[in-house]
Amino acid sequence: MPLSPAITDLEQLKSHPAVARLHGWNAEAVQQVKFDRDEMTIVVDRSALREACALLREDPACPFNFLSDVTCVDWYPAEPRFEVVYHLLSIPKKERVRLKVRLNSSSVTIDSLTPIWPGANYFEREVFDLFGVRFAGHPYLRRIMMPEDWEGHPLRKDYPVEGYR
Amino acid sequence: MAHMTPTPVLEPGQDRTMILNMGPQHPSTHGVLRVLLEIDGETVVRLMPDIGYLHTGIEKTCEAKFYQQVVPLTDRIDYLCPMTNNLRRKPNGCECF
Repeated sequence: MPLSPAITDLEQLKSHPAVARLHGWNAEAVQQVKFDRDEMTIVVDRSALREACALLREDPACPFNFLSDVTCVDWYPAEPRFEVVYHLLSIPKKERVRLKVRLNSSSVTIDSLTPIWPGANYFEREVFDLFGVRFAGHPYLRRIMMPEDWEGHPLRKDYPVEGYR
Repeated sequence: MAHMTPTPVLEPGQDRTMILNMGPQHPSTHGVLRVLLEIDGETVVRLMPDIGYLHTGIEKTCEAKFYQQVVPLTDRIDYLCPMTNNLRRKPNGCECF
């Protein structure tokens, strides 16, 4: 069965609770929306991320109370280079949404979401360890997978597959 | 060198507690895990898991391979259910059955 084409028109997607909430709160914060393969993606401005997440978590109409994943994509050598990806789930409303934040390689720092969802703690440590993204306000930003004395961030695309030898 | 013991990050909070290093291997963990425990007698007060021992960097290995070369690697993601990992890495839209 062929896939239906992705929808990127904001007006058509305002019925989604997360899009409606974020756009109603601050239209500047919503950089891009995309509905593809039955999945909603919202690209959020970096400076608005923490407030946007706090808003979505406390939204009375559709509380996104569960942060199910945090990961990162390295688009090296393109700019903005990094895309930090958050998967949110609203357990009471059975809604999911994906938030993306784009980061330039000149400043790979982003607000930590650990104060909002404590479960973000380990996810953010993993992204820091493997991609080198710094999470401002994280209580314990140290390596989690790699040994403490490891150099570099292995999942960056400019890190050689064989390692530095 | 790969797994030098890091400096213990838990400091005993009171005189009653002590730091115990459990692992890096323990028969009940079914994998390799190291846990730094702060214990008060037989009660665990705080713990700090070190979960990196099972990290193989498979995503990095896959970066330099063709799709077909990655499929056998997916067996090793979880040796308890290799088939599940093979199947869920089928190409999007491919008809398996």
